[in-house]
Amino acid sequence: MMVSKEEVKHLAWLARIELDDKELEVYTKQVEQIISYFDTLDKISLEDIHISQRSVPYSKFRDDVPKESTDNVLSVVKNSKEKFVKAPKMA
Amino acid sequence: MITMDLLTSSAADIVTQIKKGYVSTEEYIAKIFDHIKKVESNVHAYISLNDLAIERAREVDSAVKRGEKLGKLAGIAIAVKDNICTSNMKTTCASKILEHYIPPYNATVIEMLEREGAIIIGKTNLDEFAMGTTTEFSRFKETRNPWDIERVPGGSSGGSAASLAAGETTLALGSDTGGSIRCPASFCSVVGLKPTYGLVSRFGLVSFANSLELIGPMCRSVYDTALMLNCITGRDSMDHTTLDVDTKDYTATITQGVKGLKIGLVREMISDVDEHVSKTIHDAASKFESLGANLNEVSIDSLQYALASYYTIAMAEASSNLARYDGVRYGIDMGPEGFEWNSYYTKVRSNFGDVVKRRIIIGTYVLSSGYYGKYYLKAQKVRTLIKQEFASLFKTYDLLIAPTMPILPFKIGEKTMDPLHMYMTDIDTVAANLIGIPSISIPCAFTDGLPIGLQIMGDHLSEELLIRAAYAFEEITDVKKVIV
Amino acid sequence: MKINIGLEIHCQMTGLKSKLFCSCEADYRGKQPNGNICPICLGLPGTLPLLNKKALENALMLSLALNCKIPDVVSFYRKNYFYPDLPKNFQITQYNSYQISSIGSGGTVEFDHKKVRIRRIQLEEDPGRLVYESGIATSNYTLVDYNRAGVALMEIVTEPDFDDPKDVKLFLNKLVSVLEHLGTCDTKLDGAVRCDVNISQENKKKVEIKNVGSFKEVEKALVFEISRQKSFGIKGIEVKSETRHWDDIRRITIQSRTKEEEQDYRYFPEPDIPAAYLGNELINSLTKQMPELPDARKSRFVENFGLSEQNAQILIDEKDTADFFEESLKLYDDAKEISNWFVTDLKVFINEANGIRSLKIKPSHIAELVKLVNQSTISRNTAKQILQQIVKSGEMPSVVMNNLKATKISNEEALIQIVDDVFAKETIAVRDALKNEKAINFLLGKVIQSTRGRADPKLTTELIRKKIASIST
Ligand SMILES: [Mg+2]
Ligand SMILES: [Zn+2]
Repeated sequence: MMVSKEEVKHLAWLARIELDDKELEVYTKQVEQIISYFDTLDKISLEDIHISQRSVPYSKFRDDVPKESTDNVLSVVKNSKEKFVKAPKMA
Repeated sequence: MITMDLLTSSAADIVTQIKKGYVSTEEYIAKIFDHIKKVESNVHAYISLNDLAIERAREVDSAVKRGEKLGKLAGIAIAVKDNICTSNMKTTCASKILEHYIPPYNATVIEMLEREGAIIIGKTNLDEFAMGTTTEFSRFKETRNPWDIERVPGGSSGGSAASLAAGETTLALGSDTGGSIRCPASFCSVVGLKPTYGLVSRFGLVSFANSLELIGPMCRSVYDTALMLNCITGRDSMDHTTLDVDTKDYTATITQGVKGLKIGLVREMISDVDEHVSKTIHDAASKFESLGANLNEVSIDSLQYALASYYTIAMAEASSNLARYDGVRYGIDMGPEGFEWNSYYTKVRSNFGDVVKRRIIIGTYVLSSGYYGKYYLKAQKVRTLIKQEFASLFKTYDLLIAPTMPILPFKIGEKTMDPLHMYMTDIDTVAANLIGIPSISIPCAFTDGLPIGLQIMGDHLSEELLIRAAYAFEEITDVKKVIV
Repeated sequence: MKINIGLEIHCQMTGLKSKLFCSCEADYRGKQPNGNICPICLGLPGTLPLLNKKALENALMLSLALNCKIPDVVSFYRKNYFYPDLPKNFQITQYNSYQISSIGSGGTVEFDHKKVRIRRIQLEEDPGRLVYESGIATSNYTLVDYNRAGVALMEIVTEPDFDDPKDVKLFLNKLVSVLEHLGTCDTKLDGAVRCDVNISQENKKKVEIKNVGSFKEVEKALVFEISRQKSFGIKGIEVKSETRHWDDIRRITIQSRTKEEEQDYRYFPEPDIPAAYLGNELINSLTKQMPELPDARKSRFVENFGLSEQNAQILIDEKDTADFFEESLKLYDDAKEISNWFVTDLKVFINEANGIRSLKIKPSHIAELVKLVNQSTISRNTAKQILQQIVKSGEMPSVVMNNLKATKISNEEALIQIVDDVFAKETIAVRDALKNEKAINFLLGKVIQSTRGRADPKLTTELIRKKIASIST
């Protein structure tokens, strides 16, 4: 599979990662090399394979019982204002 | 007071002496910290040390004096990979993104081990977010292989393995997504077990690839591995993927040997490996025969696709798991005020290391529209195919053996420039993760001063069998596991 | 011109006690910012989602109620996109592709003798809430409250089967009633329901109106948008494919300020939640537990109580009203008379108050009121007057009636009634009065007597004079 710089740039945008020109150059080559390796999956016929997935009886899931959080969750937040978490601007 | 080398003794021996009051926990823990001080400048196994460890040791000692009932690991020093959450200590994942992050809660395994009296002495180094095979990709330090400090300790649980081999701890926890416990265990000549998927809770393990990874014990003996496994298994209401199985005493059956067991040597895993490795593993196979096991070479055709399947799935899951690190709620703080949100996120997330960024981008690629069917879905199908092939083998064979690593520990920096080449070194370990079976790596031999590990795999929930075989092998081999 | 309208509706499961994937309280309203969060819903590293099985049950009930197909095994997916209200920068939701189905799919709903197809029903988590101190454009930062993050949502997607905003309104009325009967969503709570609407004219581009904040606004937004598109047609301007927002203050749709980039959500199965096997047993037991739904209730009202279909419809449109009606019936068994109040005078008050629960009256009030009218203790007009008071005060009708008797009757209608009564009884005095002016005083005395002195004498005299005059001519 050929991978273009434009594609890698778009992927980086989707992942919110910045690549400078040099990085873009290197990454494009590496991504192409690795994706080409993944293309070995094309060599095998998989039509008859149904993906096996573990399923659990629905009763095993959580009961609808509320619990007060005892952890001091907000201790991890650095930027806050009047208990709100401060995030960058939207526009 | 009994004379024993507290730096090299097994957890089983030390805990016995602590409970009898023959060994002072405080002295033992202090001794480990002294040793850490001495060797860390060469080994670089730890990211942080636990200031409260000595205090915990004193508590154990006074509990002994009061004659209280003590846990299975009372007073035992344990090193924890720094991607497992600890509520009083930083959990960095060896990443700039979480450099100062202190979780508000403990991982379930931490709670369980502390309940048994274990003392966390520090958090060990790893490849950033556990993505690597060498521990060179930590954003803080390169951990060295204690057997040859020019070489890598393996990864990503390199810090845990190196700390064991260098006598800097008695027990350690690692995590294994595609071999991250077994590879460094092999490279550092210690024991490392990746349990059956679902046997140990992942709650508190910072996710890299959820469907593949698990926490597991790393030790200097098979018995200690069993002892530690006893303390960390079981269904956890905080992790829906844990299995509904009863806890077991894995030490109870440990001496039962391998007589009459059918063991398969996996051809695809031993062809194309370093010749020293190949010879060593063939020798190991003969040893199992001498112990009364029936040995055959077996073939698993779909293994040739395992690596492509593994990396596709691992990177896909990683790209999504690591999306949460945006510098808003926790972790790295670059001052969001004034930034447009997309540019802030991009700026923050560019602090990931190269290896991580590359995997996120490839993971994004294989999930993006138009490629999901071509890569991700296919990878899942291959996974099912491999599962089927293994399942049919386990109808005949009790255990499968193979090298853990196809190569010997290599020089630091030797493979960093070629990611694909680096991925290839995981060729023998990823299958166990893809299909969720248990796999253990045990020290097998040394060649030119470098360790070689033997990998033993079994069907789902066959840990008991794995440990029995590993123990029997350990009994008749004399391989060094610690250098102090 | 043919128009196709489709809906995508999000309903919070307000009937739950905890969030979809953690044990934080589902009721986040009125709490201090970030006072209703835990490591799981804040997406802290190492946490895992813990599926609320009651949420699964609720979504199954809705799927059954809307005649959807239900798969044997339900699995969750991740929808990956970055946004500051999303703690994990992905949303755990469901997916319909690669032979995978969400909890419900391929349903149908009948309303007002029409039909709309339900494409799917899925279970997913609500994001947090963004707050701008000085408006979105000028704020130098955004404040985030994650209290809502992780609250369980049902997403209901219809096929584009509507061609008239009025039908959309009727359908939404029905949906609200179904949700109320199931007890899964209190649609009256602020922000509990949100609706995205897409509209396309034949051979024209599709326009989406996002986030209409209440069902009542949907019809208005649609009417505006359709006329906007029609006027474009007249002017010969092409309708662009775009996302718009409903401005409920200016009552217009406006183009979304931020240009929506093409999204690539990179769906894949959520690895931390094993697929949930439902099994026939669960479906059967839920079917048994299923409460009476609006359609069945309406038929029962028509058949058992002899109500007209139209009146029955009005009653069941809101569950509270229907419940109230049935409670009243238990106290006084006259379905027709009681129902008449609900579709006429009382309905006005219900609509004004946004639901019968907000009024002060109880079923016993209505039962007594109807009884008083039936027994001719009060006239219908008096009853109406009494109703006006009791919806606000919560007093019993009989109490109000007696109080009315203690005060001067200056209500013309009420007095006419009494005057009529007196005229009917005192035929001789009436005859006298036709000839003798003074006999009017006798009649006045009788009226005052029968109202125990509460009749306004000046008004009563006037009324008597008028009546005499009308008889004499
Ligand atoms: Mg949705
Ligand atoms: Zn929560």
